[in-house]
Parts: sequence; C-alpha cells; structure tokens
Amino acid sequence: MHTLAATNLDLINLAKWIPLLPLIALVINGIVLGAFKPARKFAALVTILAVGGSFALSVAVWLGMGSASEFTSEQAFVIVRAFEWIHIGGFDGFRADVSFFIDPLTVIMLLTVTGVGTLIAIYASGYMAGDPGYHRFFAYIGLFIFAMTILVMADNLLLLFLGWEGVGVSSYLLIGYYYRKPSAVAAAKKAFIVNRVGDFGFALGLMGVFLVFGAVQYDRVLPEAESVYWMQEHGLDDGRGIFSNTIDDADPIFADAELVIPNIVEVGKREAEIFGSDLKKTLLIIIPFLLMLGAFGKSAQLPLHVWLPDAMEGPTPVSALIHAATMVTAGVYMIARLLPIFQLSEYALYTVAIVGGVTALFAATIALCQYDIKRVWAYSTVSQLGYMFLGVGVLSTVGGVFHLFTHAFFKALLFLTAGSVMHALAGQLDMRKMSGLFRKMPVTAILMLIGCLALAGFPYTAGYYSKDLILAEALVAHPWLGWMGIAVALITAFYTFRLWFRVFTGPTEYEMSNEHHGYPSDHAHDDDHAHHGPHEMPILMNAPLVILAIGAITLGFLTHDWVKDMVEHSTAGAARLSEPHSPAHHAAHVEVDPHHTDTAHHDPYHAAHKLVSTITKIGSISMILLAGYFFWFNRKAAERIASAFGLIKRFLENKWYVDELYHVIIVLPLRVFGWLFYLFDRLIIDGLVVDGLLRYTPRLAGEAQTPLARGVLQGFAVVMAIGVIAVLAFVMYSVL
Amino acid sequence: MEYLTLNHYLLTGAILFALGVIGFATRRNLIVMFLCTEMMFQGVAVTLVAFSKYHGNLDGQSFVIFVLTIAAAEAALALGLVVYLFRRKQTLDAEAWSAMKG
Amino acid sequence: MAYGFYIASVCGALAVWLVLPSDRRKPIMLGVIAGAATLGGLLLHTASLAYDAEQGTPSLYYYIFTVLAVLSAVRVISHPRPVYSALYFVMVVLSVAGMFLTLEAEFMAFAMIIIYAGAILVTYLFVIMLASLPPSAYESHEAPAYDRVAREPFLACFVGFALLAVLSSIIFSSVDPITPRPERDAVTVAIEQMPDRITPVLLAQNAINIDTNHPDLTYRMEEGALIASIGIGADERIELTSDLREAIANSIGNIDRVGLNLFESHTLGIELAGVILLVSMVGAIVIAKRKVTGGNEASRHEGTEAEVI
Repeated sequence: MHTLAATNLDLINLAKWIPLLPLIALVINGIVLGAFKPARKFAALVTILAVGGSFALSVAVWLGMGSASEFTSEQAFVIVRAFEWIHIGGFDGFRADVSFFIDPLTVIMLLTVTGVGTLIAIYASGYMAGDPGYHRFFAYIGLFIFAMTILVMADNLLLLFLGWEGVGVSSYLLIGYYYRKPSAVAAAKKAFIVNRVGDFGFALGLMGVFLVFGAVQYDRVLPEAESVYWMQEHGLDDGRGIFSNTIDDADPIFADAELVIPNIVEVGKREAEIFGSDLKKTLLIIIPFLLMLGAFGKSAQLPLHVWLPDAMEGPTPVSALIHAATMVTAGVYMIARLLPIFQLSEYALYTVAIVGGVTALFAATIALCQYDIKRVWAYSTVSQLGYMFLGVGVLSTVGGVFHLFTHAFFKALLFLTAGSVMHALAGQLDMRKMSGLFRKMPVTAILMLIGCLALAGFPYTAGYYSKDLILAEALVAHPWLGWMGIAVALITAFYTFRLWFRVFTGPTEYEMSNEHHGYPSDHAHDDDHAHHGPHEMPILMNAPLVILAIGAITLGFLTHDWVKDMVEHSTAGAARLSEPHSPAHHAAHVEVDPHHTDTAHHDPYHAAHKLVSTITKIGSISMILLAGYFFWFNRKAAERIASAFGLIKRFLENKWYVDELYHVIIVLPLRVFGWLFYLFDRLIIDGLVVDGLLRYTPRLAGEAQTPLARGVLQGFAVVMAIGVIAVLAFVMYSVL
Repeated sequence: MEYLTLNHYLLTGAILFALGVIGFATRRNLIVMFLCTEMMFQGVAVTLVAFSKYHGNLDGQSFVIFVLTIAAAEAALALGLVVYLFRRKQTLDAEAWSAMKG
Repeated sequence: MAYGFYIASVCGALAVWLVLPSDRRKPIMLGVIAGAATLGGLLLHTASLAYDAEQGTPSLYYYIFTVLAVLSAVRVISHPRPVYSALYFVMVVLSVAGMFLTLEAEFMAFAMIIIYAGAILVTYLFVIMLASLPPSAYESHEAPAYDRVAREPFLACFVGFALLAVLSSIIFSSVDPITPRPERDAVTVAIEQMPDRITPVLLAQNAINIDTNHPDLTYRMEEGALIASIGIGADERIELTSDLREAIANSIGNIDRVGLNLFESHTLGIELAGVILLVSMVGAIVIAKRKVTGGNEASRHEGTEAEVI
C-alpha cells in the first residue's frame, strides 16, 4: 500500500478551491458587473481566469496524486473535506457532507471539464462580443462549471445530485439565453422538463441506496456493493448478506451503541424487521434502473433524447461546452462511478449497453438526413453518448471514459467551428444554403476537418482509439451490439463527411442569414457581415480551436495508456470488481491496446480488437471517400439516390417522428385531461359550488339573522352568552 | 372544623362571572361595561388559582399572571378608545355606537 | 339537587333584576331579601358539602370573602354612578385577593391588589373623571339616562342566571367533591431547582459537616435521606427530620415557585405577554395622539390630551 507524501496531500487538498473559483466568477459577473455597467467588458476575463484557475488546480491535484498505479486500489481515493452539510441522527444516521472524493476518475473528469471549459470560455469571449447579455452569459458559465465540478467531485450521492441539478439549471438558463426567441424558450423548457423525468428516477434511486446501504457516501456504499457482488459471485450470500442495517445484538459495535443511544438501536432493529433482506434484494435490482433513468435523461439517451437537439437554440459555445463536451457526459460518469451498484442487478448493465447501442444507431441515422449543421452535431453527440453507454454497459469503463475524454475535445472542436461558420454567415446553419466555403475560411475548414476525422474514427486519431476500445469489448460481450456499433461507426464516418464536403467543397455559394447573436438584426451595425461576406475568425477565437484540434489528433495515442491506468485504479475499474482487493489481477482483463503486440494474450479481446480495428480502418476511409464522391464530385447522384429512397429520407429527416409520437401519446392526452379538468372546474367547482352554494348560503344565513343584529354591543354579548349556555347545557345533559 | 373543596371556589368564580355578564349586558355606560369584563376576569382568576391549588401545580397561578397582562393591555386600549369616543359624541352610551345594525 | 340550583338561580335573577337601576320604582327591599336568601341558600348548600379531613383550609374566611365579593359585585353592576361602581370593584378585587390567600397563593393575592386595585382601577377612575359629567348632575337627578336606566335588565338577568344555573349544575355534578392534591415534595423541588437554598438551612440547623464552600457541592435524595456530595466517595448522609423538611420547604416561597413555573413551563407565554403589552402601549399612544373630528368641544380637550401623553 502506497502512502502519500504530505506534500502530495497538500496539493490534493487544493481540490476544495476548484468549485469555488467559478462560484466567485458567478458572483462577480452576476452581481458586481450586473450592477456596474462599464466593467461588463471584463466579464469574459473574470470567467476565463476563474475556470483557468480551476484547471490549474486540477492539474495540481493530478500531480499531487502521482501516477495512478502508485495510487493503489486499496486506498484508491482521498476525501477532501470542505464542511459539514447534513447530519441527521447520530450513530449510523444520514450523513452528507460537502466533501470531495478525489480519485483518478474524478481527476480525468476535472481535467476535461475545466480544460475544455477554459478553451471554450476563451472562444466565447470573442464569439459573444457585443451581446447585450455578455456578463450574464459568463455568469451562467461560471455557474455551470461550479455545478459540474461539484458533480464530478462529490463524495456522496446527495452532493452529486446537487451538482446534477445545478448543471440542469445552468443548462436551462443557457438554452434559454436568447429569451426573446420563442423557440429558445420552448427548447429550454423542454430540456428542463425532460430532465425532470430522469431526475425523478435518480432521486428515487438515491433514496433506495440509502435504504439498502444505510449511507450515501461513496466510501461506504461502493466497497459494500463490491463485497456483496463478490459474495454473490462466489455463492456466499447467506441471506443476511453484508447488509449492515440488519442489526445483530451480538455485534460489539451495537453493544457499545446500546450504552450510548439505546433508542437508535431500537429504531434500527425495527427497521431491520420491516425492511427484511428480501425487500433489500428487490431494491438492489430496482435501484440501478432508477439511477439509469437519471443518466439517460441527463445524457439524452432513448427515450429521453428529445431535448438535446432542441438545446442547440443556445449560443454555440454553450452547445459545445454543455451539450456536447461535459454536462451530457454526466450520466456516463455517474454509471462509471456507481458501477459496483449497477453490477448487483443482473440485467442493469446489459440494459445500459442495449440502450446505448440502439441510441447510437438511431441518432446516427437521423444525423444522416439533417441539414442544420448544429443539429447534425447534436444527433452525432447523442450517438456518441450512446457509444459511451455501450462501453460502460459492457464493463469497458476504460473505453467509455476514454471516449468521453476524447469526444469532449473533438466534439467541442466541431461545434465551435460550426459556430464560426454560423458567425461568418450571420446565423446561417442550413447546409443547403452554403457551399465551397473553403476558399473563404480555410483555417476553420481545416480545423473542422480534423474534428471530422476524429469523429469518423480515421486511423490514429483520437476517436479511433476510444471507439475501438468500446467496440472490441462489445463484440466479445454481446456480439450483436458490437456489430451494431461497427455499423454506426461507418454511418458516422459518412454523415460527418457529408457535412464537411457540402459546406466546404464545391462551387462557392452561400446565402447570408439575418440574425446576429440570436436576434434578428434590424440595425446597421450588423450589416457588415452582409457586406463583407464570410470571413476568417479572429485569432482569439481560433487559438483555442487549434489546441482542441491538436488534442483531437494526438490524445488517442498519447493518453491511451494514461487513461487506462487512471480508470482502472479508480472505483470504476472493472477489473477490480470481480475480485476485490487484488489489484494484481486486473491486467489480464482489459487489454485491447491497438499497439499491443504481446502475443501472450490470446484472449478473445485481442482477436476482437484486431477485427474491429481492421474493419473500422478500412470502413472509415472508404466511407469518407464515398461521402467525398457524393457530396463533392457528384452531388446530383446523391440527390437521385435520396429521391429514390424518399420515404426513408423523409422518415429520417423527421427524426423517426419521435417528437410527433410524444406529442400524440403524452402531450395530447395531457391536453385533453387539462380541458376536462378545466371544464370540471368551470362548471362544477366555479358554477355549482362557488357561485351557487358558497355564494348564496352565507347570504341567506346572513339575511335570516339581520333582525337579531341591532348593532348594539350588549346584544351581541347576550347572544354569545346564550350560545355558551346552550353548549354547556348540551354537555351537561348528554355527557355528564 | 370545616374544610373546603374545589367546588366552593368554582361556585364563587361562576357567580362573579355571571354577574359580570349581566352587568355587561345591562349597563349602558361604556366604562362600567369594561369594569364588568374585568369582573369576569376576576371570576376566571379565582377558578384558575383554585385549580392550581387543587391540582398541586402552579400552572394556574402562572395563567393568572397572563390574565393580569391581558387585563392591563385591555384597560389601556379600551379606556383610550372610550375617551376617544366620548370626545366624538359627548356621551358614554353604548347605544350611540350602533353602526353595525343589520 | 339540581332543582335547588334552578330555584336559587330564579331567585337570584329576580333579586338582581330588582336592584338594577331603573326609572320606575321597584321594591328594592324585596330584591335585597331575595338576594340574601339566594346567597344564603347556596352557601348553606356548599357548607353541607364540606368534609372532614386532615388537610384543608379554614372555611370561615372563604365564606366571608365570598359574601363580600358577591355583594360588591352586585353593587358594581347596580350602582348608577360609575365612580361608585369602580370603588365597589376595588372591593371585589380585595375579596378575591383574600380568597387567594386562603388558597395559599400569596404572590397572586398581592399582585392582584397591586396591579388591579392599584394600577388598573386608578386608570379607570381617571377615565371616569375625564369622561363623566360633574357630580352635581347626579344629585339633581339629572344623571345621563344611560347611567340611570339599565338596558333590558330582564333578558340580561335571565341569561346571566341561566348561565349560572348551568355552571353550578356542572360544578356540583361530580360525585366526589374534589380535594386538594399535595404539591411536589418541597425537598425534591429544592434539590432540582434551587439547591443553593438548601445549604443555609442545613448550616442554620447544624445538620451538615462537609465543606459547603466546595464548588462541586451537589445534593440528591437516596432512600428518604438527603445526600450531600462534593465528589466521588465524599458523600454525607443527612437524615431528613420533619423539622428539616419544613425548614427547607419554608426556604422556598410561593414567589419562588411561581417564578420557576413561569420561566420553566411558560417561557413563550411570558414573551408573548411582553409583546402584547408593548403592542397595546403602542396602540394606546396611537389612539391618544389622534385628532378628534366631529366633536363640538374637541379643542377644549386638546390640552388634557397633551398632558396625558
């Protein structure tokens, strides 16, 4: 067991400042700059400094942690305590503190969130320039980073939930950022409401976890879940199991407790009788599905994916940061973090994998036929998130998290370049109205090309490595899901380059839109776009894109081993789960390094990996070429083929009619019910009860009494006394 | 030697209370009416102290202190109002103020 | 038995009706006789309930104070001049205070006299003086009609005595008369709530030997004896003789006990009472500051008002 040096702990203790800096930025931007107009132009600077500071602190924490393998599995985490939050009940009671759970998985998430967040904030400082809500935007970004870091650093489920809701709120605020646009407001509401469905499940799951494990802290829940799983696997579950709530009188802990707080022990015993271990076993099966619902809501998986494409109504940096790179991956993170709990339910992870795989295919087919650039990337995000769930679902947490990590870079890059195009064309997003923009904005074109290559899984780019990892594991665990994933990879390559070729190649034609910063422009200032036409972005906006692009190319082979090492030594390390407390065992489990030529491992993973990498290498290149043929050289042919399959095309263009389906099965019945209740309220409640009974009864009663009320004080007193006498007489004759 | 029961004191309290009610209802002078309410308080106070004694705890006596508080507050407000009303109509007749006639 | 109360109530109602002020001449003497008969009957009845017991209260004072209180109360409601009503009310208060003394509520008795007779009644008298016509008006039989004539005396008497009939029926309906319950043992109260009162008593009686100045000195009861303790192994056992018991009980008076009860069980009530007093004070000031509109002689009273404030 490796003991951390004191200096390292000092570095790790810096973690408590990571969420605080963005919070300070929120306060400064929201309150100080909100009140003090002339300083508003510094809003971006404040947020960039705060988020960049968080990133620096994250790096410090990472350095403090040392290399992940030193950070051994026995002591795989450090808990940094900030302050006490909720303590209910003394001994064995409910405890949720604001303290942070620092392990390699947390660090990866922190680096991703704050790193990508910093780059996007820099980009946004140029993109949002001149917007009337400049400081408001950066205040929201601060809020988002605060909530997101809380989410990934939380050491208990309740704090996780706090961050979870926090990112939900900031997402809502940012989608509805252009609040004068009705479609943005509707999209914000849609996102919020759909997320409520998922959060409802998540909250129930949280309560279930507390019922079963008697705690919500990771360091109490996860080891216990692992032990239970281990006992299940080895057939050692004797009925009493590891459930610590089942109180044993002979247990010396409780003998002590009896001296101190006898009442608690009594309560505990009663509880143990009520929630016998049968109920707990049932709960253990249900809990993962409830938590899963939350993950699907936040990460836009079927059937709760509908909010994410609409969320593109927000400013483009927001789409990149929240709705592509970070927030939507919270579901993946949560499942990876709580993997031990998910393993306790036999079908939970399989369900996750199926939903992920099906969503990946479903969203990829939709992306194939969309014309709105941001919508294509949105559906592509849904599809890639599906990959991540597939990865986590087949126990390849390394693959899932690695894909999350690389995806954050190339998807942010894609969204931001799309934002550049949109910016250049004054809000134009319809790819039918643009063509051959390469000559006008070559840097943007090349940057987007790099992103597209990574997304398409072009050999040796970042997306290629992470996707392979997932597909190989899937192919071994559930072959049909693996093949489906491979098909999705091919479709992905095709629709990605369909977009790129349409926008940047071919004859240079374009049609400017008339929007500026989400509002229809009606004053002369915005007309300069129309006069000058598409132009290259300023260096401030392109610099972060270059960094992202470098990441999109190199992260695959540079960080592959690092991520594997990190994830395997966190609580999400799948290898540890089958055999707890034996870190030496993990090496044999996940071994799909594409460069790995060690022939000692002739396991199915190795073979599967070889197969997958061959197929995707050939497949992605050929799909790119195919897309190039149809959308660069011979667009007529593409249209002919599309019109030949008109029915399917329309079906995909309309996103499988999911929104319409929801409209019919959810919205319409609710509306009908609403009308029925409205009628009931109007006719029965208002008409009969309020206007009839309630209006005339007191009036009649009052009319009947007027002769008695002569307006003299003593008269009232006498009547009151008569009433008292009547009551007393009744008491006397009936009770006594 | 004779000894007493709770019932004796309750009877005294009841008599004082009933006389207060009668006075409140018959007298027309606002000031005397309020005196009569004070008399009802006296009846209640006797009852409370008697209960306190016969139940063997002091809650009743504590409540008498609250009754005193309320009586003092009431006297301050009611008498202020009475003076005010008297200066409006130069009379203390309660029937001069019958705006609540139905 | 209940019929006795009904007859008494009818009789009392007749008496009060007769003595209430009226313009017509009424046989007041008949009323006095009827009232005396009612009161005498009721008291005789209650005297028959009195029982022999070891503990109790001397009854003579009860009867004296009850008769005084009831007679004064009748005069309060029947006297045509408010000043006299108020003075008779002072008599009622004094009788009630006396009754409190028979109930061993000394603090309450004096509080009653000081607050009611002293403070509240003086305020009443002030207001009566301020708001009444000069006494000469009464002597010349020109007192205002609202003081000379009672309002619907018959109905009021009927209602009032119906109330009394019902109340007395309920009061005397219990099978066994209720007798006093002893208060908590004074020594236990002293140990729990006022341990500092014990030491002087013990010293005065020369009943304690250990160091009474020790900061850790505590008392407790054990098997009927008082244990004084200044730490583990340093206990002294003090047998509680009846003298000692009485001395300790006497060291804690009625005021101590009421205070303890008030601040232990009714803390919120005390706070609320304070708030009510404050609010009523504010209200009284607001009312007094108000300018009178519509009064003919408003200006005449302005000076007085300013002085009152």
